[in-house]
Amino acid sequence: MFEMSKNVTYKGTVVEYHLENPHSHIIIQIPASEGKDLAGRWDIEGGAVNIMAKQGWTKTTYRPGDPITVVAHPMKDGSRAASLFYAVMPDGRRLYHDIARPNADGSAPPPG
Amino acid sequence: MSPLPVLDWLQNTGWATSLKESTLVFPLVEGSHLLALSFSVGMVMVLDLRLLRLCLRNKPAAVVMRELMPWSLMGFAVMLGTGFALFAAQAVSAWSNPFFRVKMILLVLSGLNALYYQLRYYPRMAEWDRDGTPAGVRAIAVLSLIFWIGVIACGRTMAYEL
Amino acid sequence: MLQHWIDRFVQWCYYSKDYAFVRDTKYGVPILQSLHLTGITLLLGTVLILNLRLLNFGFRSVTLSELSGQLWKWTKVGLALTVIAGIMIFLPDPTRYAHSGPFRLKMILLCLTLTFQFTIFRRTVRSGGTGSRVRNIAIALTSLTLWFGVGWSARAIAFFQ
Repeated sequence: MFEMSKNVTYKGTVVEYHLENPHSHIIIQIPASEGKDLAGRWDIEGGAVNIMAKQGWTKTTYRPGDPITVVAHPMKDGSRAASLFYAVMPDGRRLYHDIARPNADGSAPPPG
Repeated sequence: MSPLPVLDWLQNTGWATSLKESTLVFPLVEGSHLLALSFSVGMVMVLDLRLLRLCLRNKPAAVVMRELMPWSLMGFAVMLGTGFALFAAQAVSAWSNPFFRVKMILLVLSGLNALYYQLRYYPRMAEWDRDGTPAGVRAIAVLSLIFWIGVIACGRTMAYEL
Repeated sequence: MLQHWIDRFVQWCYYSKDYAFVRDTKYGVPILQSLHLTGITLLLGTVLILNLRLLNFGFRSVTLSELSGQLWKWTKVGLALTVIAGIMIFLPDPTRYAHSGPFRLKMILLCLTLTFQFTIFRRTVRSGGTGSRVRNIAIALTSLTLWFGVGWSARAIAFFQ
């Protein structure tokens, strides 16, 4: 249901942050300045609690109101939801959803 | 009257929230729900196959049914308990999920199917089993298999409908 | 070294055109997973019945030979459905599974389980379980532990690494 070979960058503000089973969810509000296609409320879906925790996610990684930048794979049907690839922390570090997957062209992703 | 306020309350109760946020308990509950399928639906499938004379032909159907029932009922008790817990953790989104609704409808249909069998064919089981399975019993067995495979499919597909 | 070959295999799977119907359709994966689960239900259901009889816990009014003669075929039907659907789930999305610790455990356990099932277990069940009671209990508990071990490690894939 997600276009796994597409990586899209989403920059906005955290509305809700749920680290939970079976899938974590970060609801993001993207401002109109990002363009018509991206503006609006997005549901970024992550993995189960333990899988995310192993990558460094905690219950307090994000709070409502925090700025956020994530790279994710959008839904095939165009609805405002995407599968989390990684989030970019303020210090530039990447927080992955899962053990990283290869890029669409088969190359390994850069180390995080 | 919309059930949404009740469902919202349910998924925000202390226990439902800790279930959702747990590292071990949620996988245990979900895993039990899936593996108990063998105890419940698996046994029912064997019974349906017997009614269709596709297995255990040499044994009276009544004997097969009697032996299966206690285990199957235990299995269904686990399915119901774990199912309710899983539903509670995501009550609002489950309720609005079309596959969840179809799954519930199929469960009800399965129940009615079984009830009809109980009332119509169960009393005379020894007789028709000996003389030749009536078309009605075969139909019930086929429907049972279809409904249960449908329940499994809807349960699985629920996760893919955001 | 092994990692290199796994990566090569994974890339070969990932770019094959044949799996488009699984990867690119909305319901391809759920349908396959439903078939996988239906196969497992039938497979484990029959295995459970045979083990309950071996343990002398259930199905006591049917002999083990009678049960095995009539159920073994359906165990194999369930297994075939499970394995075929499983392969079709794995091949289009190998990265996800090849890198998963629980998945690797599942595959190892599956090999052990199938070996046990088609040697010691089949022999015991076909001969009517005429060995000692202790032996029967040991075989039944081994079978159940192995099969449910496969089941639980499979569920762990979604939750653990």
